[in-house]
Amino acid sequence: MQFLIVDDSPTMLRIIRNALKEIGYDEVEEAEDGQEAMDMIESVSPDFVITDWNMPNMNGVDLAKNIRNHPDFGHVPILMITTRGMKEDVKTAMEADVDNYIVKPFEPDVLDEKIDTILEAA
Amino acid sequence: MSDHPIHDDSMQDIVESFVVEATEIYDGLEGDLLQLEQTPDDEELVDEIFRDVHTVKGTAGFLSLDQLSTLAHRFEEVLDSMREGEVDFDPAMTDVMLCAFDHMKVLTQQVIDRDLRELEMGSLVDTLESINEGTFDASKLSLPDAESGPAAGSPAPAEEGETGSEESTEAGAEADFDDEDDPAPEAVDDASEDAPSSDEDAEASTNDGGDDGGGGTGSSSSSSKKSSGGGGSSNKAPDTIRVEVSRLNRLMDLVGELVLGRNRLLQLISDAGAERMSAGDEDTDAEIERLESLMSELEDASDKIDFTTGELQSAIMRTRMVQVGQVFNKFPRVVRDLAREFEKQINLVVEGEDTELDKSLVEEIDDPLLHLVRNAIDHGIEPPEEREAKGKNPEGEIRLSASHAGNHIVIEVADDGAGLDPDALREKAVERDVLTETEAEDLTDKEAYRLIFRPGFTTTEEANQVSGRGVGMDVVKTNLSELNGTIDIDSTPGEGTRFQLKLPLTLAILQSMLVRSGTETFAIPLYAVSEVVRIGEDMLESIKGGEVLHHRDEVIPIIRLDGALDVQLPNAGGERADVAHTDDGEYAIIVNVAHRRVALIVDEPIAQEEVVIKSLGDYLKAVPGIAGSTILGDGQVIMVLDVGELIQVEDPSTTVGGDNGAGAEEADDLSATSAV
Repeated sequence: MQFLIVDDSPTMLRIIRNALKEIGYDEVEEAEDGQEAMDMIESVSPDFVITDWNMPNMNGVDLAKNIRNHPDFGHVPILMITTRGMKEDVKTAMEADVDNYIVKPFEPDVLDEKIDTILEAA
Repeated sequence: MSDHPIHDDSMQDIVESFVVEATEIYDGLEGDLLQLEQTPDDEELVDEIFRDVHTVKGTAGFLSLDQLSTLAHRFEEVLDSMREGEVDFDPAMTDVMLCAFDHMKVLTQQVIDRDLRELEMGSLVDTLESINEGTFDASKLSLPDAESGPAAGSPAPAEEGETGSEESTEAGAEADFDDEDDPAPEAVDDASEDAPSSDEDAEASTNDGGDDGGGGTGSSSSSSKKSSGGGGSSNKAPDTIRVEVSRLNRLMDLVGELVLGRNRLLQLISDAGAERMSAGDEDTDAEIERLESLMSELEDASDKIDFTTGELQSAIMRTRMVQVGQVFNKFPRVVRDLAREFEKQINLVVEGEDTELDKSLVEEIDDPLLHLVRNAIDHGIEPPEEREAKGKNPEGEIRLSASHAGNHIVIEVADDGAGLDPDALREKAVERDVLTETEAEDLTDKEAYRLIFRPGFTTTEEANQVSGRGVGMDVVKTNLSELNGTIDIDSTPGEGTRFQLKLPLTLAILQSMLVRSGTETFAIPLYAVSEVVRIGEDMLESIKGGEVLHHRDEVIPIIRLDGALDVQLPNAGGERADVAHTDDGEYAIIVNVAHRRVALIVDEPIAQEEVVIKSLGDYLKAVPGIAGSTILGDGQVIMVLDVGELIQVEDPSTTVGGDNGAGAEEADDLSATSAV
């Protein structure tokens, strides 16, 4: 299972990567914003995208929209990372056709549950 | 708190990553906030600041850094409101945001120190909230002091009363900060569903940190040292990688060993060459020819190694080079804050911020520069009215510049203020019993300026009023001598003062002159050496109980190296009877340190060599006059002199009597006081 994780914070990328590893997912590629994620989506060919919301160049919502419009990767599950207390963001994210969202800070098992929920629904 | 996630072994890589990232963010954030004060309508800027604060908040949450994440959250809300145009920008809001920024830095420093302590910041959180709710009132503004914020930024206790926190107790009464925002340890599915409140912060009632000023200044030096660990390059730059400084240090150590090995090799080859010249007739021509060709190949190979080692050394040194801008960057904020504190108008001009120097030095010049800039603002630049009365621009100027000069970096802090008054300094020196009246009169103006570097030149009483000038300047000089650097003052009454700091580009490798004194060989840093003079007849004279050297119409105080360092003399120890020790066989190495000239009397200069300084180790740390040791090409271990310290401890004007025998003992006492 190939993951593409997108976040402008190297620390967050590391946290997500560690969490995925703990769950048992080892194939992880990183992008530091939405634009870079779109640039590498074909070469990475992800089975699952986890993205931050707030990033420079292209934010997570725009990334989700772009992925949905992609001829080959439109169906890829997208998990959006949001922050507590930002209801509007969550609404916007869901409207962008994100499969689910997770609020940071999160524990690895919550991430695991979210991923499972999305994969089962697919 | 030892069970906090930041102490968890499995979290260390994330903690480190967080620290580096947060530090990098803070480096840019401060400038952005100052810029925001100028251009509050710049949406992109607000966006960028928002993103930075948001990132810190997000990662802090993962590390259960509750206070940091709460603070960042409140801060972020303010920025969000600004973005949405819900808030009318008031310049005083910059103070609030900078205060929040300072607290974020302190909280992050706690992570670096692995020493989490709860900060009192209830009134700050409340103030942030008041901006958000539109009830912000600049006239009632009262902000807590970040306890170990920027050293120069923390106001002296005396000023605290004015900058004023009459509101503090009031604000403190409701200081338990926002329990709704206490981050839940586990994630909640619904973003709006916050964790139930915990009142652990209820006892955190406040008085506004008014008595924190003193302690804060004390702890600031270590915090500023460590916090620059992020390196200069932004993680956004595509063709850079981040490397732990310890790895570069290791490389530097190795290349140091390589340089020593190379020196040894060159020495052996030169010895072998000498041997060859004196080769006897018993060798056959063919053998000689074979040896000749081997030797010449060996020489070629060693030339190559010599060259490559030199290149490698400078290449590795370059990897440790960072731009001095890293240090300069903090000064717009420092100057802004201090100008407000002292009610001065000041324009800061920064030049040469892309000048590079060794990372270790960047960390060390931080504090000295802060002292100098603070000093310039406090004492140098006059109040606007006074400047106007003098026909000057009411806005003073402080110029911070860096440039390279040979193997050195020169950093200047110049102001266009009142300048130093040499007569007042002389008077004070006599008053304080630092000098006798005659001694004071004998000082040139320049020497009089240097009085401010004397330990204890300013009394404590005065130090409180004027933010510790005497103490500060003493520290500046001590710090610089530890770095093999020098400081020079130039001042024109009425026009301003200029401090010039000169530092070697790196601490590890030193061009030096090897000299022999008695049975010992010493290395003298070459940058300090201005002349080598063979002492002729009548050149030495005793004056006022001390000896001086007459050289080209100049009278230079002397220090006999053997006396000062208690070197075993051949005639005393008798081990090296072959070494001549006669009066006319001596040399004077004239050294210039910080614009003072002193002649070091040695038996003979030996060679010029590049040496790698090794520390003497902890148990021999404070040997006065010795900077470290090194190993020569022939394997001999010798001491590297710290000329600045040697001059200071042997200073004829500070050493009463100044004769050599007593000098050595006195050296210990004096250096003990100056090293504090």
